[in-house]
Amino acid sequence: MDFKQDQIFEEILDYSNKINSSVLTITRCLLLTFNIYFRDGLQYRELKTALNISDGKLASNLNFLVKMGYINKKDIKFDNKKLHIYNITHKGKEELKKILNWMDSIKKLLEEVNIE
Amino acid sequence: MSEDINIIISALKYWNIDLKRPDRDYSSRFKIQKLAYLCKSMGMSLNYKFTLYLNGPYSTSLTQDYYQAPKLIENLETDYKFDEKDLNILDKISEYVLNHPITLEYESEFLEAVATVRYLKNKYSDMLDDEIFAKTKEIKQHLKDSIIVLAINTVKKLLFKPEFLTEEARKEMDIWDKAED
Repeated sequence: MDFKQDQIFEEILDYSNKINSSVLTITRCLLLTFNIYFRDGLQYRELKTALNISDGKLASNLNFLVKMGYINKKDIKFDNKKLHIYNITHKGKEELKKILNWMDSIKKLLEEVNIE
Repeated sequence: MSEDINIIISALKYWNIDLKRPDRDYSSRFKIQKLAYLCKSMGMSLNYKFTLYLNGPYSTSLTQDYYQAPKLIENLETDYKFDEKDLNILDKISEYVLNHPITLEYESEFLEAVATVRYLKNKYSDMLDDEIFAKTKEIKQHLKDSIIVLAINTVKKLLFKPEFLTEEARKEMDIWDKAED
């Protein structure tokens, strides 16, 4: 392994220690990503349709992200109905950035070793 | 901030829609998105690009604009003037969408359904009504069947042009009218 590869390897390990590994599931990463794209906020029912998962799974993942402070939950009135709207927080954006940096460094390493 | 936001503010002002600051109110943001899409899809010159996914039709560039100018929207500040073609579009949206009786109870969901059906009709011009209904239901499971049906009929009215009314069609409509009597 040359010096550059060593550096990237160090980088990967460094980023790995900074990431909250509990966020590293497809559902949780998607929930954060959707909330970055849809800055207006997303309704629970919209997330359910998009992810096509059970209420239990969606609720537990959303509750986790709310509890960690990565997204916030707001009660609103919409056509006289009570709905929950979810928005990503600054902390959530920062966490997602850490994951992206970590994945970027893995990609860099793979490019360096030229894996087919 | 793009010039297009002035067109949207002017449309909201023309319709006299009561909106709160979009950066603080979800319902206002939701309505602006759907109405802006309807304006564009009916032929108004807007550069916003809309996608259907998740809570669409939705435009990220429109979102950026109203987060940058929330007070302009709350106060409906604009000096943009519409031409006759655009006024005709605004009047149609007002007559068939904003003043539809269902808006008294389901304003946002009806707007969402109409904008979604219009988007699908635009993208898949060969789709039959049954297919539009099924596709809308698939991507917007929370919308009631009756609202989707009303939306499909409303979009037909929005897209109708007087020149479509041939003598043959007029005769058939007269027969249906008599049958209803």
